[in-house]
Order: sequence, then C-alpha cells, then structure tokens
Amino acid sequence: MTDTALPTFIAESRELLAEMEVALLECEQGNAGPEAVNAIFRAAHTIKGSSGLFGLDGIVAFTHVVESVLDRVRAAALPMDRALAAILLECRDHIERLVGVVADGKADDGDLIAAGERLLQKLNMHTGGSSASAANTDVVATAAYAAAPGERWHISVMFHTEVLRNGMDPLSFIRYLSTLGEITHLQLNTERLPSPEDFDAEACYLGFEIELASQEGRQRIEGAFEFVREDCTLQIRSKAQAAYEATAGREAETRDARSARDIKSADNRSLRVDGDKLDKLIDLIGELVTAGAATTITARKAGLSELNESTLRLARLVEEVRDQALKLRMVQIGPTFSRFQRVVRDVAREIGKEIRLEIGGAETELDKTLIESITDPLTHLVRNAIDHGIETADVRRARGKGAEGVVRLEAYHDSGSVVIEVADDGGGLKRERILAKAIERGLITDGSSLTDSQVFALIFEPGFSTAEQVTNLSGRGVGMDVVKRNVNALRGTVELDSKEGEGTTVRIRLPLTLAIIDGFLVGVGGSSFVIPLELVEECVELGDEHRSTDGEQRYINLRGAVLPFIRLREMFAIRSTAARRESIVVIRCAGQRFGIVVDELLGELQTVIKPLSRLFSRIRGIGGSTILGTGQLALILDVPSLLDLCLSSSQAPVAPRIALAD
Amino acid sequence: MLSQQTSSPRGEVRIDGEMTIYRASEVAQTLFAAVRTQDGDVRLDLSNVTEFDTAGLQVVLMARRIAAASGHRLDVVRPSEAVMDVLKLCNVPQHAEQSMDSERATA
Repeated sequence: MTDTALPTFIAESRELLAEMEVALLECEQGNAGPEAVNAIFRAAHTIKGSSGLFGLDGIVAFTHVVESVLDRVRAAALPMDRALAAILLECRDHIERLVGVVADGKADDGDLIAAGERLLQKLNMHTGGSSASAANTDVVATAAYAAAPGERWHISVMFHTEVLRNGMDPLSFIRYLSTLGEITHLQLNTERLPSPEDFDAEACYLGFEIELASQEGRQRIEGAFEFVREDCTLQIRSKAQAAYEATAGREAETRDARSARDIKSADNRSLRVDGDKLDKLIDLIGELVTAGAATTITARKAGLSELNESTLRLARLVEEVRDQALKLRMVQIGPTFSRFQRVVRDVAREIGKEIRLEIGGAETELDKTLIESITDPLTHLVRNAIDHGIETADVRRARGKGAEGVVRLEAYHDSGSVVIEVADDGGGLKRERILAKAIERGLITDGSSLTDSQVFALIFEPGFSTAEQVTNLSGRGVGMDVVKRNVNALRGTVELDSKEGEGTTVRIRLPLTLAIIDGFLVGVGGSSFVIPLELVEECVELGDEHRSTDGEQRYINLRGAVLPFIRLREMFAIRSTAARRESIVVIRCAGQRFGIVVDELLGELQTVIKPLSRLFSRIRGIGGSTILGTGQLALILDVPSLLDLCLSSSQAPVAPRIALAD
Repeated sequence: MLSQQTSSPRGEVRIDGEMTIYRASEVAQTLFAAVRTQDGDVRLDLSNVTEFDTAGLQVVLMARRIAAASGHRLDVVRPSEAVMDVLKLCNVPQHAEQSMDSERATA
C-alpha cells in the first residue's frame, strides 16, 4: 500500500500542517481556546501515526516529542504562551520540511536532522525538559475546580484492543479529563484482562469507571475522548439522571451510540477526489453539452415534435449536470486566506512593524484552479501592503492612528464574478510621486488631465516602483505588473483605490470558474473564434478607407481617439480573401483599447473551454478551444497576449495611450 | 533503554528504563518469566522506570496476577515519579491486596 498511499499521506499531512499553523498563530496572538490546542495536538498526533505506517521514523521521532509537549499543554501542565507557540511554529515548519523531503523522494539529509535536534533542544529548554511537572497537574486542576464542583458525571469508558497499537495512550485521556473537573472516584476495569498465556502486551484490556465533578457540559466531556472516539466504547451519564437511567439504561446506551455515529458520519461526508478525475468529468460533460446541442439542431431539422421535446428536456438536464459538476470544483477561499496569517506575522516581524491580518468572506467559494493561481499575486499584494502600505509604528502614532496596522483580506461574490480585496490602513498612494515617476520613466508626458484612478493604474505598468528604499521584500520594480499579468491571465481584472493617509485597497475581480466562458463568436474565412464577452466593448464596421491598407496602417480614428488594431486573417494566416464587409470588435483589456478585425459577427454564446493540448501551448494568441453546436471547432482568443502582439507589432508609440485616456 | 535483573535480594525484580507500548512485549516476557521463577512474594522495583503508560500498567497488573496464581503477592516498591503518577491516577495500590488477587486467581 505504501507507494500508492504515500501521496495521500503527503497531501493530508500538508492540510494538517496548515490547520496546525492557523491554530498556532491564534495561540501566539493569545486568543485561542482549547479547540486550538486540540487542533494542534490532533495534527501532530495524526501525522505521527500516519508516518509510522509508512516507516518514516525521522518524522515519527520528531513529531513524538512535539506531541508529548502538546499533550502536557492539553492536560494544563504547561501553559501555551507566545514563546511556546513560536517554538512550536518552528517545529511545525520543520515537520513540513521533513514531509517535503519525503514528497521529493530524497534521502534523509544530515543538516535537516541536525536542525531538528537543535529545535527539540530549544523546545526542551522551554518546557523544562522531562515530563516531571505532569505530576502536579491533578493538584492544580483539582484546586481550580474544588471551589465549584458543578454537576456530577459518571463516565464509563472501555478502550478497544487496538487503541495502544493505534498510538493512543488511554491514560492521557484520563489526565485530560482531570483538567475538566475533579475526578472524585476512579475504578480501573480489568475484567477483560485475559489469562497470562493469551496476554498480548500491545493490546489494551483496560476500562475506566470515572466519577467526575465538573461544570463542563456533556459535549466538552465527550470531547475529551474525541481522538479515540472510534477506539473506545464511551458512556457518559449525568449523576442526576443516573437513577432514572439505571432503568432506562439500555435506551440511553443506544442513544449515545447513535449520537456518536452521527458525529462520525458528519466527518465522512466529504470525500477526497483526485483533481484529474474531476477535470476529466468536466471535460466529458463539455462534450456532452456539445453533442446535446448538435442533437437539438438535428431534431429540429427532422421536424419531429416529440423528438424535439425530448431533446429540449435532455438539454436542460445536461446543463444542470454541467452546473453541478462545475460546483464540484468550487472550494472556499478561507484556508488560502488563513495561510497569510503566517506571511503577515513573519514579514511584519522581519521589518519590525506591528500588523494584524483581518479576514472576511472566508466562506466565499471559487474554482480550485483559480485559488491556486491567485495565491502568488495575493502574496505579492499582501507583502506590498505590509512593506509599503503600512507605516512604521512611530509614523502611525504621529498621524493619530493605532500603532498596529491592519491588512484586510476579503472575498465576496459580485454579479457572476468573485472579488478579492487586499486592503491596508496605511499611508495610501501619493498621486504626485506616481506622476513624477511615470514621467521620469517615460510612461506619460503630462499627468495633469489624468483622474486619480488612471494615475493609480500606472503602478501596474512594467518597471514601475515608487518605493524610496528597496527592502528585501518588494520594491524591486517587479511586482504590480506581474500581479496584473497573472490576474489577466485568469481572465480577471485588477483595480486600485487609495486615499493618501488613509490606506489602499486593491480589488481583484475574477470569473467564477475557468471552465466556462461567456463568449462572443466571430468568423474569419471559414474559421470561428471566440472572444471573452466581458472584454468586448463595441463592434464597428471597418470603413473602406482602411480596407485597402492591409499590412500598412494599423490603427483607425475612432471618434477622435486612436484605436490600434490587428487582423485575425493575417495573424493566423487564414487563406481566404477578405469579406466584403469587415468589422472591428473593440476590446478593452487592461485599461487599453484595441480592435480585432473580423469578417463576421456571429453573436454571443456560453461555452465550455477545452484546454489546448501541450502541442499547441506555445502558440500565442490562442487560449483554448471549444466545440460549437454544429460540431465545428472554435478557437478561444487569448486577448492579453494578442494585445501584447498588437502593441509590439504596430510599434504603437506610448502617446496614443495617453490620448485614449482623454 | 531497558534492563531488568533479578538482583541479589531475594524476591526482588527490577525493571529499568521505559515501560511503554514500545517495549511492552519484551518487558512482559522477561518480567513474567522472572515472576514465575520466584517461589515467594515478589517485590517489583520500579525506581528507575522513566516512562510508564497503559501498556506498562497492564504488564504490572498481569504480573501481579501471575504471582497471585501461585499464591504470592507482587508489590511495587520504590516507584519512580512516572510510575507513581499512573498508579495514583488509576487508583492501583502499590501493594497487592491478597483478597483481591486471590479472588482473581481462581477465576
């Protein structure tokens, strides 16, 4: 099983490590409850257990120490403070590196092992070495609860035979229980101990009858056994009920069992599916949509009304199936946002600013591929906000702001697209400085006529950076233009709001999914092309005066503004004579306008994008393909790269772009 | 690591090191064999036990039963902190109560 299951182990470990990171950061900020500690423990425990199955002794050994420390935290023998959380974060990172080594299939690396040992030493120094202090646990816990004994519970727990082999120690659960209240009575149940000949030292035969005085509710007490829920038979009864339940005991038992089952089934409701399988499914459904459309057309031609009716019903169902299938790819953005807690913490620390990350709309869903592709641009924006946006604490105080800066990540749905905002309450952009820089770089000649948003849009130009000092993090002049290019590649847009002295908000708008496109169908010769509809601004007829100048003139005068254009016929070397009437589709992309000359305008369509095979991946100007209802193939234009081609081939000087801004 | 010895004082067995799931089978075998060779009460010296978990506890309980089967007691003497912690938590007496074990032994 090892080879096939290993990728699952790695994926799961990384997920657990991500959860662990979030919980540790909460602890570090001092606003974490016992759930956070439990989450950290669970992550470490599960990773240790699974690594054991794969014989990854390095990970087991390291994680074991971390887990023991966490166990003591859970048992309240050790406080979870800032310092401990920071060390545990480092330990988490180390586990991540160890898992990474496994993922890369490399052998253990000496440096890594040494680093692990140093970390464990650090951890030991902090936690006081051995587990000696654990002995005091009960005393402390008892003292804390003695004042208010609360309700009395009777807990009967029988651990299953395999629990020890599964890496659990029943005693740690009993110890944990003692932090929830006072154990007034405990009786070991040794009924299941077999005869010496049958005794298996690695099997568990013990059970516990416990009386607990606690103010906690049933859920918290049940929660103490969360990690062994499947490895024990648990009964919890309130003493007050006990008399009644002595008669109705059986019923209560089945009820408990049922509630345990409910919890379990809720856990199992989500399913891990290989992304490739999903892609394959969506691909097939795309074909189904196409085949369905062809059938509808044929049915209409045949003129059989019954056939027509049933194909329409079929088409509706196919569309529903498609929508559902696309939803399968949707995931919440929350975990991605949470990852930035760490980025903010580390970067803020590095440059000595106090910064808090706020997250909003974590439950907003978007396509998984989009989430993966948006992480890098987001990282850049967040770093930018920390590095250039937020002022130092002194400056902030002088400006009457709180010393702690706030970076806010927010996501929400807005009319068919997803908006992701990165906002900071820092110094904002300085219009004059941007203008000066843009003029210095030759991006514009005079900025007096530009609106604020046009000025701010300049920072997305290649090679633009206003940072006065170049730090380690950003300000190297590569950045915002890369962000913009990445977002455009996802068929999204970036815009920026800023008020000097109050802060900056960068807004990324993305399509809900990459798999479907609202397109505008055009024809050149016998070929069809799809232009993303949201980029189409208008269509105008190409006047006769421009028709004769093939290969020469590359722009027209559109209501007094210069509009550069390209001809698809030339671009893709389509061998056919131009139609009598040609049209220009005016595209607005990345704040610039240009035209695409085509023969025919064929109207809007919604279509499923099929990626091009690797063979065609180097072709510029084409982003994908789709199959039309007629069975004909249409190529989807990659507008940003066409724009690049258009601007470079026509050698359009910078000036026209300024003219456009008027 | 682990080392156990039946040292010179009569009836005394000592276990050193870890008494956890990782060593339980090994410890159980050696300890049970040692207990079976004793012809009187056994004093189990656990002063050098560094770690003690449920598996360790089971081994002690089992050893106590084996001793009881031949009519002897098994007492834990000088438990280390780790051992004492578990015995206290689980209400397991350090000294075998004759009645309890003889009753079990007949089972």
